[in-house]
Amino acid sequence: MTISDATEAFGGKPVRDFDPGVGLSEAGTAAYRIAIDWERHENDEKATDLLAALVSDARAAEVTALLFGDWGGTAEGNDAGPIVEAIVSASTRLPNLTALFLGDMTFEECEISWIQQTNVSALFGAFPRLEELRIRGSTGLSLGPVRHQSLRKLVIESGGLGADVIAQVRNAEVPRLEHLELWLGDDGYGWDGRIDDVAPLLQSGFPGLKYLGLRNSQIADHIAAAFAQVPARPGLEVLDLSLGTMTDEGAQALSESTAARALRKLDVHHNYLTAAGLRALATLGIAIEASDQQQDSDGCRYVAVSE
Amino acid sequence: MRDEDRAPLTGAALQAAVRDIGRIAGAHQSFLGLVEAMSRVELDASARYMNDPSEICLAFDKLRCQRHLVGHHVPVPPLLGSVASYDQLREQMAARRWSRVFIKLRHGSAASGVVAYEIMRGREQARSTAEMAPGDPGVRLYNTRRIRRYGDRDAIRALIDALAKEGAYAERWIPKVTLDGLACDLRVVLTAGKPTHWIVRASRHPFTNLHLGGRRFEIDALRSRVPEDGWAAVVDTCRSVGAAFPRCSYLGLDVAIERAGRHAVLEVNAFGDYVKGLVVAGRTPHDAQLETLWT
Repeated sequence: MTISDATEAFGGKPVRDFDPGVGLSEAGTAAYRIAIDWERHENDEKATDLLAALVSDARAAEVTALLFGDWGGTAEGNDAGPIVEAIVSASTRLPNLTALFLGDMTFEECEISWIQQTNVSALFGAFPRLEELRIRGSTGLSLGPVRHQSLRKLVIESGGLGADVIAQVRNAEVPRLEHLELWLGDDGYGWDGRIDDVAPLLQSGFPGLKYLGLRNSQIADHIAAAFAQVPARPGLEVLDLSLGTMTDEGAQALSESTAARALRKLDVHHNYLTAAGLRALATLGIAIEASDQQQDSDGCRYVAVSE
Repeated sequence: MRDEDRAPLTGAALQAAVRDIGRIAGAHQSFLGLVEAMSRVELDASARYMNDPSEICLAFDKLRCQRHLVGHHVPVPPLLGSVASYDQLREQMAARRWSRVFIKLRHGSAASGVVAYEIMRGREQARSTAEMAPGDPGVRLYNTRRIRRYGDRDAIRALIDALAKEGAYAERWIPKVTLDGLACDLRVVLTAGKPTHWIVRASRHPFTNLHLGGRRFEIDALRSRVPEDGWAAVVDTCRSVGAAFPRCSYLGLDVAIERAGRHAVLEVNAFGDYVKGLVVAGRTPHDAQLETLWT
């Protein structure tokens, strides 16, 4: 699994921790990360102060990619509200921001379902040039009504995504969207949806979509079955159903799917497929990523990331 | 709980606890036995040893050992101190505004009776290498290789209260750096006070011990994540631990590395020199020890 590691590159640039002492010496070539780990938090340092220092730098306008890790006391339950508010307020100083990551922290820093997110709707109006938004953790998350002309990539990593957020995604007006990645998660950790909440994403909306990820899902078999019912979707190159609880039943359904046959690649790594399921998928004649298959324990199957 | 308040196991209860394989019981009593045995070794003028008996006893009292390291300017996770009970632990955590701690047996080894405990907004979770069976009173504790997760307050209270009776302490949970989605720390073997052997231990659990299914990585995998001066500081710390145990010819250290490059010594193991298959420059830790004896 390559999840939950420190992010090394974002928005096409290597990630640097922002140090006010050094300033934005690589403003044009690096993505900058702001985080307050436990020790800095105990020393009363604030993520909002670090951001204020960053946007005061003479080269702030050159920054295109920003990551926010622990915003200070995240593991104590502090939510993303203040930092999102600060990012929105600083928007005029970051006119070229195209990539934003909210919640770049590992499970060692804070369990994904314990990360307290917030209503991020103001970001969309504040950053009209934003192309990539990545959010880790969906507890307390709301996107609000989304209308955005530039957004190409939207990722929500979650241990359990609420149907309310999925509805906000379905209703989003994002005509340029190419990459949509939702980690649906486990019903013990916030997933409260049904197949009907995600099935519409499989067949329509977002005309330019090239990549669709409905990952880390305990209803991966149902998603596979639903995908088998829809016609081939022009433009969709990759379907990513990895990290879930798919069995050979789902693989069999996908193997008979017209829409799957039209893909360039199908990603089902880290599910519960056996050799039979993998053989069925091989008949599709497309690239299949199927590494790291799991075995159920006493009939129980778990998504890769829940807690 | 003061040590002298802890009722020793005697007679039939002692026999039963000893025969109960995997049971965590009498941890403090076992420690007193070790101290007794070590003092006999010390009094035996003909005894030869590689590690000094009193320093071995120091390493087997983890709380005292951590405080000893602090005195030698070795970075360790901030200590919360002895755990008397679940309620007292919660009070101490609240006073320090801590939400994540590790609870360890003061006289435990091989990750026996360790708990990674976290609280947030009324929610709490404990993951542990101990499992519980009904006891009278309270619960009996057993070691398990399958990490247990407890999310219910009553269960967590029973677990922590039972560990407190065995003698436990708490320290801040230092978030470890991750590799391949696994939490990592270092096992470093010191020979004659210097770090000679290294291995990265990695796990999807907060516990990285290899016998609990932890994966191994070569040191370079982690080293590339740590700034050069941060790595030099780790080496310095290892030497400082060696200096804090001047009469031990070998030690096994567990060292946590943080994302920001900081590090902390989690534990000192007096018998921590055996790591299966660990060979550096053609030498096992035991080869390295023999060389120091010959020269």
